[in-house]
Amino acid sequence: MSIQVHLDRLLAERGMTLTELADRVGVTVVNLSILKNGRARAIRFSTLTALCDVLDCQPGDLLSHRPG
Amino acid sequence: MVRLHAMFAEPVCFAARNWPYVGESRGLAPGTTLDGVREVWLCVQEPALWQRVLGFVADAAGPCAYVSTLLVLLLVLKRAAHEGVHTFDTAVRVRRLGHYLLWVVLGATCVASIARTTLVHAAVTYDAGTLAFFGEWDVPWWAVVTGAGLLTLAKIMRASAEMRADLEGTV
Repeated sequence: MSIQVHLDRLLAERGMTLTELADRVGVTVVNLSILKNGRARAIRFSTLTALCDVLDCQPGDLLSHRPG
Repeated sequence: MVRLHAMFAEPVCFAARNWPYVGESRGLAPGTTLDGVREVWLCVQEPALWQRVLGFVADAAGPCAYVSTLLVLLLVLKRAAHEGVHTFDTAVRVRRLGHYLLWVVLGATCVASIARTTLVHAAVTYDAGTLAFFGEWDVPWWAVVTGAGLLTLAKIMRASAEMRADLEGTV
């Protein structure tokens, strides 16, 4: 997939675990794992908003597009 | 063994639907007798092995195809119950069942018709026509319609499986 998810990097920079993020965002660990491993087909605006709120980042910090 | 012996001792009988002589025993090859009046049945009293094989094929091809279709249908239903209806695998199986109905059942009844016609050709002295098996062929239209319906259903199921995957992949 050409959309890259940088959840790993953001979690590492903030010293946060996936479980902790899941608790604070209100999304299951399974769904966050799907997102982290690049298996997600779509992301809701509400989830993106909650992630950006908790991680204190912009959507562009979380997602990037790799051409080709 | 006794049953096998009895099977080989009995004459091979088959229907000749396009019989031109109404109820009359005319135009028959030596060793062939006319049996039945409403539907003409010809019996080869001392059939060769190929006639026995063709007689078996003419009688068994259709029922075998129907029974195997039922078994395939049961298998598809069992796997669908186990794996779920809205999955790619179930859609593929339904599509295969549709193709099976369309080609195997049609093919089996066509083969039975060809076998029956070949037997008739060998049992009569008149020219029964090269393409006479078309007239003998009981085309199972239910299989054609059901097969086409299953192919359409498989496409719909594939779309629903795609939607399910999208939903499950939405975070």
